[in-house]
Amino acid sequence: MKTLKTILFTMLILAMLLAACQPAAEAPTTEPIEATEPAAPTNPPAVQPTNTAVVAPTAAPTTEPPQTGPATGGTVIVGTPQEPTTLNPILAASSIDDALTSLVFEGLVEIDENGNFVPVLAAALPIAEETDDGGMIVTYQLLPDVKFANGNAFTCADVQYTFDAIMSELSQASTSGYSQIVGIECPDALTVVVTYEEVYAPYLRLFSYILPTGAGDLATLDTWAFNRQPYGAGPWMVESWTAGDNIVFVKNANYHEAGKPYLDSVIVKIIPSREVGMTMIGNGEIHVLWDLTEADFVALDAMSAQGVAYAGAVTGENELLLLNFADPAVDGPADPAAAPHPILYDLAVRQALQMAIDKQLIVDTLLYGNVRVGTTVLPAGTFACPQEPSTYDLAGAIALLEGAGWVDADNDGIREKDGVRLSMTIATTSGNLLREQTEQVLVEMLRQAGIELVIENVPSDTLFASWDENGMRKHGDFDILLYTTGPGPDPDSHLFSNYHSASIPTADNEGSGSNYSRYINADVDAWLDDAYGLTDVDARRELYCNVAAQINQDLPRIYLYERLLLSGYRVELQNFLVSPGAMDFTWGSQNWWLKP
Amino acid sequence: MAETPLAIAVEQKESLFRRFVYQFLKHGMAVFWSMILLGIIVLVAGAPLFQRYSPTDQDLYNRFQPPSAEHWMGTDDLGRDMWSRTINGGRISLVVGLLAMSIAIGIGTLVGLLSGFFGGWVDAVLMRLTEIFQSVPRLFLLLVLTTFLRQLDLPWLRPGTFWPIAAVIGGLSWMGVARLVRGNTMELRDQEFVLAARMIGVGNLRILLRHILPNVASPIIVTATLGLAGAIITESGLSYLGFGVQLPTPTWGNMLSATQKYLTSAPWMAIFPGMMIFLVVIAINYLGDGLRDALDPYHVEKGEK
Repeated sequence: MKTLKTILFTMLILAMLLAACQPAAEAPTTEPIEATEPAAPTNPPAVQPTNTAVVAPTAAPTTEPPQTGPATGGTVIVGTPQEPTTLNPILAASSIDDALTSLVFEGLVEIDENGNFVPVLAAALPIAEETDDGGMIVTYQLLPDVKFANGNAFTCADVQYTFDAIMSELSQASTSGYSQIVGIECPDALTVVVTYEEVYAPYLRLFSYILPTGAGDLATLDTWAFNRQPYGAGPWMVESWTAGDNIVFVKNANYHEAGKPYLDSVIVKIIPSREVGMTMIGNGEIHVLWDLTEADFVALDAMSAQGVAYAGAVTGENELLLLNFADPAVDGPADPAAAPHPILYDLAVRQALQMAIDKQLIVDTLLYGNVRVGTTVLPAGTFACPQEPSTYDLAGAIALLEGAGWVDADNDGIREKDGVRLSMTIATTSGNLLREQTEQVLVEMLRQAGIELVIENVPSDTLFASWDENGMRKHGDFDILLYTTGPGPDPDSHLFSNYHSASIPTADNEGSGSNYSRYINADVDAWLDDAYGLTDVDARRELYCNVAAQINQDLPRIYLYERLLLSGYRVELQNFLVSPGAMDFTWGSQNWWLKP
Repeated sequence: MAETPLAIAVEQKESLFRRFVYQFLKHGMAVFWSMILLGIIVLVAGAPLFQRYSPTDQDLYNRFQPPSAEHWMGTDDLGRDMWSRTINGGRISLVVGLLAMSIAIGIGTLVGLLSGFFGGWVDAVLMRLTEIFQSVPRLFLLLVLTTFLRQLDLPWLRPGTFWPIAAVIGGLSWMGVARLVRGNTMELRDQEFVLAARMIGVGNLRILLRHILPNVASPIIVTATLGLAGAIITESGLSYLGFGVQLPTPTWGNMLSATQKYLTSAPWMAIFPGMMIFLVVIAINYLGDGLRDALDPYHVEKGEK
């Protein structure tokens, strides 16, 4: 007994000694961040805070000068922790389904790496005309001489077939927009005339993929062999799909861009986890690692010496603080004026909050300078509306608060006014490392201004729960929330559901809408209503821009930084781009080539 | 007369205590680990005296610094001093442990005493209750309860406090104590001294508190020390999962939870809080071991054979 204890004890001491020695031993191999250079110098410079135009953050550095010319042949291996469920875009349910179907299918109009709509199988962006009866006609001219992978010519009939497939019973595709189409006519093989029953402003987002006629009988859509062995007009076709292991895509010999794709094949490899993927891309076992987040910048930064870079697209979403205008104690009020938030209803407090937050510091340190600070609800795409960035001014914030009557009378470091302490809770999804770091930085920043933030995180299903599930967001039971949202390529529905007064969730509308701040501004309502009836992009942009400017005045939300859609890749892979649209990293895969 | 009855009693008590100390000191490991535990407690209780930086002060341009003369345990993901966070984190971890353990001992002793002493249907009901509690998967119930308690707007459950988590952990770990106390009580209630007390008309409450409770004290003390270790680990586990004490208040558990991503790049962020949990739990276990040997005469005799 005694000997056993002695042995155990000795082992313990040894274990402790080993543990104590470890940090010292590993210290030289780690690379602490330079104090004065928070942005990693080895990564492509992504942030251009002064550049207000839409930019692709990291794409440019990989593009070779044209005179070298791309090498042909070779195979690129893409790692994804998620296996797609289908390769038929009509049945696609997840982001990886959407991205991989885009290897096989192309659409009339797609979204490029800058978030702009570009014609792909259409010869030019379509023109929309309003009709006398309040409807709309959109006319597409198709690219001539385009063939599907099976050799059939691409014509107007395929567009009709795709529409039928989307609207068919077994389709899983979103019918929003398509459901307003009353008919598609084919005056000739290369002209498509789409008639809408009423004006549908975001018409450009439709027909982002085209299925070939004869893909199968729509009544048995869910059981087609085509769903796993599809062919389209895109640069690749499926050669084999080994479930749980890999999918091999080979060159489509009939691809419409001459000489492309440059590569022979693309293999999509299913990997156990993102962490394993990080090791594999570091070793060069895979060329592309799909779906990273901003929290991976730490690891990416350390791996730049191993030839790993990343490409990101500004998705138009912002990591933001959502401020509640209404009293959290009142359940789902329709008008915050009747039940104002004891602190946040005051514009001066909201302005002071924004001024006391050093967004640039958060971006420079937590995000390694790889993203842009949040300035506007519309940061990218066709409807981008750049706004002046907010200034970090602690003294100004304090002056604003003092002016509004918030003073620290009891000297506890936190201000009060009429017996109300300037203390609020902030909630986000628990377990999200980057968000938890951001929160803790915010707590410190706001403490400087005499504002107390108390972190009270909840699981994501609690935060995002619906009205019927008594969701805190829907019922207005919060002070400040931290999460990500933003418009897609077309801001119409996002702006309406997040900032229009008709979108305040209440018992009367059964909690529909996402205007969780309970923000009401008559001008914003009017601009959004006007924009809904317009087809002219410039006129819509102007109205949306008014909305964006007004939001920055009223501050229902504070935009911290712009989110990116990120994928890692090895530097020998050229022309790797990420699109903020559904095609994600597969955008422009026909241009990929491997530098020998 | 030098030896009054009182003096004899005092001397007897002293010698009992002396015997206990003597037995405890003979247990070398227990003494060694008690010293370590004492050292940690001094460090943790007097944390403000030993720290050079506040545990919440951030220095975002000095994140992930390895241990150095400036930062003895390095800095964490927000440039905060790990040494300061580790000793301050211990305060919450230890207090939560102590609180949870006290609650568990309180409930467990009460249930065990009543159940063992009265027997019959009281025993049947209380023991079925104990079994029900024991059969519930603890981790899931803990997760649900900590989330649920936080949503109730009770004044003593304000966000940022550690009361709910201590209460929940304590409220779910009394079953072992209850069974132990019940067993001992059943054994004691039929012994002569209890019968004698009953004969001269002592009430049930007084018998329970004056005659039985002191006699079950030693197993309670031993389970208490072991329960303390368990409670610290449970708190760490919950905080690690994000259900425990909310940020930015440091506890050993939530300090660990952020480190998964940095295990290779900044291992000191995981090693130091992990080591503290390890040291404290080991120390408490040896302390409990020593106490049991010292308090339980049968065990000592066996040990000395």
